[in-house]
Amino acid sequence: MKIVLNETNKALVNKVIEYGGKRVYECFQCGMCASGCPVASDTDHKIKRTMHQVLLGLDEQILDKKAIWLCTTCFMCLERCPQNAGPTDVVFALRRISAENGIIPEAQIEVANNIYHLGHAVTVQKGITLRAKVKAPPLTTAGSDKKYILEIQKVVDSTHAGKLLKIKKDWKPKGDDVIACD
Amino acid sequence: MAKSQSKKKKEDSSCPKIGVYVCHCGTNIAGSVNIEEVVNFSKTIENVSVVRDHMYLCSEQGQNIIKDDIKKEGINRVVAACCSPRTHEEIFRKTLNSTNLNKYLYEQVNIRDQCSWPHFKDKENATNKAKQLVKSGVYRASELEPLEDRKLSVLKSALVIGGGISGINAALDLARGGYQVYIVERDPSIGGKMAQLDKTFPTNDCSACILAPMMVDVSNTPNIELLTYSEIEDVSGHIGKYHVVVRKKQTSVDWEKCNGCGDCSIVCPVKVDNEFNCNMDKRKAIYIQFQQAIPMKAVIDKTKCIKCKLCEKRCQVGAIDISKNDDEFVEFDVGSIIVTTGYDLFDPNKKAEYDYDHPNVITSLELERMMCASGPTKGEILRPSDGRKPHTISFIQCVGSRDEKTNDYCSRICCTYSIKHARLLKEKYPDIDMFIHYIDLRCFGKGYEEYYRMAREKGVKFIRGRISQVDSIGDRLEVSGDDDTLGEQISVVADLVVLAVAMESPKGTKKLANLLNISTDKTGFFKEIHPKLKPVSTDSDGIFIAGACQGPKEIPDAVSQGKAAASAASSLMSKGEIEIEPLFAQIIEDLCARCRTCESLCTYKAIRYTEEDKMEVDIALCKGCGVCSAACPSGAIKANHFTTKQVRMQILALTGGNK
Repeated sequence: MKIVLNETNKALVNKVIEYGGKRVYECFQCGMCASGCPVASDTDHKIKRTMHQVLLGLDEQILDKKAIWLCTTCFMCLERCPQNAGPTDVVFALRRISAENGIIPEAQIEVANNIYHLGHAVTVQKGITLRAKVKAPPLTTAGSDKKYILEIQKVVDSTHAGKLLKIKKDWKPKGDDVIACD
Repeated sequence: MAKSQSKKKKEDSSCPKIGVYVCHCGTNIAGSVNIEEVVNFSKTIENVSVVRDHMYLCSEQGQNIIKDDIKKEGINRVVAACCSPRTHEEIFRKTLNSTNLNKYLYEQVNIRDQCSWPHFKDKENATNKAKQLVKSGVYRASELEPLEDRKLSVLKSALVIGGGISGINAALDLARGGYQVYIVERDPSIGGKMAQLDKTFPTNDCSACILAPMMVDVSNTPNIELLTYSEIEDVSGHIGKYHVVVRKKQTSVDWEKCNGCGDCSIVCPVKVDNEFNCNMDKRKAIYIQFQQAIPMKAVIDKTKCIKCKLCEKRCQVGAIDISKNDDEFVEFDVGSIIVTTGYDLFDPNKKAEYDYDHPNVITSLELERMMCASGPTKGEILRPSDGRKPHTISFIQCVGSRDEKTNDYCSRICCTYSIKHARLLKEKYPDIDMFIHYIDLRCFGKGYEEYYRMAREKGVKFIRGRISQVDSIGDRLEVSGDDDTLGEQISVVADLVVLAVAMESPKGTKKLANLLNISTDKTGFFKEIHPKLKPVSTDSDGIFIAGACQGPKEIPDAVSQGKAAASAASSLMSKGEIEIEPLFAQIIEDLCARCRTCESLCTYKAIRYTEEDKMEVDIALCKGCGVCSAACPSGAIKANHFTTKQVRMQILALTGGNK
């Protein structure tokens, strides 16, 4: 599909800079970020292209594809970038912009709700049961005590992260998991 | 000195005792030639008394081995089987000289460039070839004769052809060194292309601010004679003494009287395209080239003048006489010549896809003139079609460069000057979108990388991929091409398209090359002898090249070369005389029938028939090519160091015939 560049959208790049991708202009498309990216070969997340799209103001291309959500945030690109353009910072900024536009994958919503309600990104109920069965000491993580979870919820509720991440008060975890300490 | 020379001759007349030295050149030679075999073979050749090999024969240690053998073993001919005489002959000759053995009793056999390198896959045959080459060298060496260098006096004056930034630097350096310098410039003023530029990368100096003081310096230097609005008519002679004829085009203005007030231009009714502003505005038929012109003198464009004589009447100093029509000729002699004729720009009409006919498609030099405060728009960037400010500017790189259909070379400066344009414009007009469409960004000079980064930081957008076409859509332009990173076709809707046109060899290069007997390369630029080691020398001794006439260059490189050429010319002229190799033709008068075959064949015009009924060789002009010697029907011409006997022996060795 031919891309027409007419009156470039500067809003995107300005927003990315505001949200932490301060050095996005430094990118000169050498490809160091993409060459070491652990997810690039198996996903649509092409970080070099994303950097270029930000500079050209092609927000629809970036946000609609949702590929930025596949970044593992391993920070390899940020470490290696010869221009210190901070590709990971740009990804974080783009995710925030994307979430503000209501574009956020289901899996991310589930993770956010897991953390909000269980204190864990992934559910651990099976582990808790197994540990009890083999008489191993109980878990002492954020999800092991209601007071920790309440603190997490307090943090989330005091920002607009909850709204962005579509946190539901009546959320029920998938599968056999239960809300901790209930 | 004379004594030792006569002693040398005595030694040489005795039976040849030849030393053969085989160089490994690291693995350059030893990697594909079996050195031991070559050494053993060399021992079997007639007249060879010493054979040795060395890892690096050109090292001091290697040279000392040869010296010792000359002194202790009494060898009187040296054959080195190593690399190219072009780079190493001089070293060996000096070593021979230091031992009082005549330096022309040395023969160099190149078993590297044409043997070990090309035949690296076939060790056996490479070794065989090396043996044959050594044998032919030894055969030739047995017939070598001692020769003495000739001294030639050199005039302490120089001609600089072209008054651009390179020529100005060359001329000033030579003049400061005390030499008389003549600058010949085609335009009415010196300054060249640099005078047309607004700012210069990577420091953004105002071009006029850094150039004008040097131009003034040229006009204030007493030992520089400035011949502007002039062209080279003829050059004859040789290193040390070139006779130059310059055609001074008729200006119809007496420059002794003209005070550069410009009144004549004001009254002149004839408006013509102003070349200095890339034809974007008009000048008059009588004009001063630009505001900082040196000399600040008026010129009448004879092809456009309608002879109304208004200027003649207006001129308060009576400098104008339009009835003057004939060109004047100036003649002088110089010791050396520096060619700094600069470059022309590629004609973008040859790339029809970029629609240069459209008023809003311009070249980078046109943009440069627009950006300049003294340019046609007084520094404002406006669409030529309607004088409105553009919203978007597209820069198309490599127009006529890196393209087999036009020029296959890279013009080297376009990346950085387009970045300069985009950056300067972005500073002045932050709301204009700038796109640079490139295929590789080559910002290689000192400080250029930082320059490029600052352009990115200012928001200039760089898109990798050639542009296929420029089309009109309404009053705007659609620039269609490829975005390599996106892997998609793109089109930019622009108001102004700037073509980064290639640098080409200037008009008249071929003619000047013929006149000076120097070469051009396949790109049309003047050719240096060696791209790395002799970058400003030409194949005519005493003639140097500098700046963009040798190949595309930015200002720092053009200045460096101008200064390099001045240094080369100065070291040639400083002693007032030079030694030249005695490799010239000699007429054996008793055999000569005066048929004058040689005279007609000599490329260098070195042989002529004299009034005394003799054929005479001008040893300064003769290059020792041997054409005359080969063509002489009576064998009356001996080519020094390449005598018939010497060449015949080489052939014998290679063909296995008998002596």
